[in-house]
Amino acid sequence: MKQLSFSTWLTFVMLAIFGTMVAMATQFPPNARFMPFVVGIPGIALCLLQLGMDLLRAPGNQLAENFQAASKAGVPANLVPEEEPEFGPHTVSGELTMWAYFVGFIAAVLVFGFYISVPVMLLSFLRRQAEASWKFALFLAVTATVVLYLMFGVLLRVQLFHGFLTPIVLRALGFEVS
Amino acid sequence: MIDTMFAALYGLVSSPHIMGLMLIAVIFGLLVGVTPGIGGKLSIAMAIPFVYGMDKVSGAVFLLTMHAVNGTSGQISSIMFGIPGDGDDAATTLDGYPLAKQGQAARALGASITASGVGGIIGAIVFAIMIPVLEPVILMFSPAEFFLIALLGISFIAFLSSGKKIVKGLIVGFYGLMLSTIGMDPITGTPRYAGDMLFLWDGVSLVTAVLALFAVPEMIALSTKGGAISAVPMDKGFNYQQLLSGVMDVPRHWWLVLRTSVIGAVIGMIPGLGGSTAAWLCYGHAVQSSKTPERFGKGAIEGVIAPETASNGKEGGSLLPTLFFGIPGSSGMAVLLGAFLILGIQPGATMVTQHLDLVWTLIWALVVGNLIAVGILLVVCRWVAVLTFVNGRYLVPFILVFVSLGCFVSDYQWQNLIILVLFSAIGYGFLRAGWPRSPFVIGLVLGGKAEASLNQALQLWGYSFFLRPISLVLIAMIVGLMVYAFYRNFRPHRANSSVGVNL
Repeated sequence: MKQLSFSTWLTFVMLAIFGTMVAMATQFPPNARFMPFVVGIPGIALCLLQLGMDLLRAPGNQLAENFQAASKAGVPANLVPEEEPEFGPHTVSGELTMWAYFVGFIAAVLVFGFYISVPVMLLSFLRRQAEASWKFALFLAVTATVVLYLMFGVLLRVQLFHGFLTPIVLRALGFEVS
Repeated sequence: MIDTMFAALYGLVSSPHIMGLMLIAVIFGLLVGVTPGIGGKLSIAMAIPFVYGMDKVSGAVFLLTMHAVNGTSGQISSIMFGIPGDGDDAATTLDGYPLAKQGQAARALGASITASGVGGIIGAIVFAIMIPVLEPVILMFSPAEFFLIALLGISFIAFLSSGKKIVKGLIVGFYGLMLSTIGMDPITGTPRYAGDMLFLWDGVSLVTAVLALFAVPEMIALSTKGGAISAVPMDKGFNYQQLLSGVMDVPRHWWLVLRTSVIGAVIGMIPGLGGSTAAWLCYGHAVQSSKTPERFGKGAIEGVIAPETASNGKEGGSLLPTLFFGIPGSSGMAVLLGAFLILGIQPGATMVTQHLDLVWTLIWALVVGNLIAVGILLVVCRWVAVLTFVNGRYLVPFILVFVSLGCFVSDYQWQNLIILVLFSAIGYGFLRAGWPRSPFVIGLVLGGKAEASLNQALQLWGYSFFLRPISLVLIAMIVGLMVYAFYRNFRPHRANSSVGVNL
């Protein structure tokens, strides 16, 4: 069985998004569903067209295309480097780690708020991913949080999100939380 | 018009508030331009939340100035280390790096910085000259044409940005359009796709969508790849006498500077053809028009001047379709257009009829911003180059913090953070699969306008609006574009002639 590329899977995702949104639009009043139909139905058609093109394209064409592009640019064939692709199996672990950091950070903001999540994320990322020393990572994390507080809390008087848990804990401890 | 022109200049330079903002924007834009992994689009996306609360003139001038000077510092790594920051700077590397290797890095930097600034100024002048020429055409446009222009804009940019990826570009553009339908329907008041989620009744937050599509995917990719731009030591033979000689190379080649700036500005006016096209085309033009073409590639100063004037000259040109037709001239302009809408600036005919003063202010901002940028960069370029040694992984967590703050502060809705994660997954998918992302922003920002225009056109003329003369021309352009794109896509065994645009 032919292995589907990441791009083809993405096309399936887009098809699902368009399909779901068009299906939901059938429940709207006629005037309200007009634009979703005008956009969504061609969107579905384009996804199907792309899927057709992806599935009909013979494997290995991409390599040939790269060679053609290089030779058109005047690069001799023997000089075309066999570059490792930017993304592939060799990057999956790094990508998943980054996603874990990002989603974890946003989840932490929602639970604990910015002022707790920001230093924790900065410290752990700088220490583990950027391989900074403990002292340097701690210095950057604390400085960034202080700057954040001075900029938003003091200068702009913007109340950053405190999270769902932090206010409850603070109230339980007898602090007043706005 | 002359009165408006000079009143705008006076208003700009006599306001300490705006001049202060411009100075901050120039410094920020220059630093961002030379820093690995942060492009012009990303810097605008990150700055959008911070222009909330500013009046539209200050906000627009701040963002445009930052965008305009971004490329001026981008060539530093191309010249000093032979590593282009992005596609726009690749042409500069061909002669800039050989000059650096010959011990003339300062001369190459002096010439490129000055050429870039002069190109930006001439691009703004070309835009200014085009206003009276285009005014009658813009005023002829009705809601019918604006609806079709929105469709043309999406197809045009999807086509030009990606060559063979036209269908993917269109899918992304239609996805942006589809998301623009989320929220209250303007005619019936029905909340579409929003249900009981009140935060969606006003539609998807543009700031969140832009940050999710551009900032987060870039940061995840940057962290995955890691490393700094440069591992090469800096040239020790840098001196300011050489820098001055490089500056003087620009007036010495004034005719080439003028030609390539105008070519750059004209290319900028064509939506989707970006700085890479302008830079390479003008580099080729410099080679062809030279009496000694054999010097190119070995350290010809004209090979540095031509691409730099062109790639910065295109900024003035690309502002024209962005402001007057709502079609961004480049991907950076697509993000800038989103920011303009947030500031309450509605592109279209009203820019000529009611807001010409703002147009002139923006033109002057391009001129003054470039002058400030050249002045600052000529003094500090040596030290700014140090930024290319920064490891990308040190920047990533700070930018993610910035992104999440911007996303929250834009609407003060915690739900935006969840939307950010969801949209970022799609945005990262686009990046990983090599799909163009700019059509999304264009679809999202033009979607509301397209729907409003379509409704107005249907109320005014019914479906016969498709038969209006300009509508027919626009439909013919859309169809012609599609036919040509598919012909190019499916013709057998021919090398793809796609334009290498970095959108």
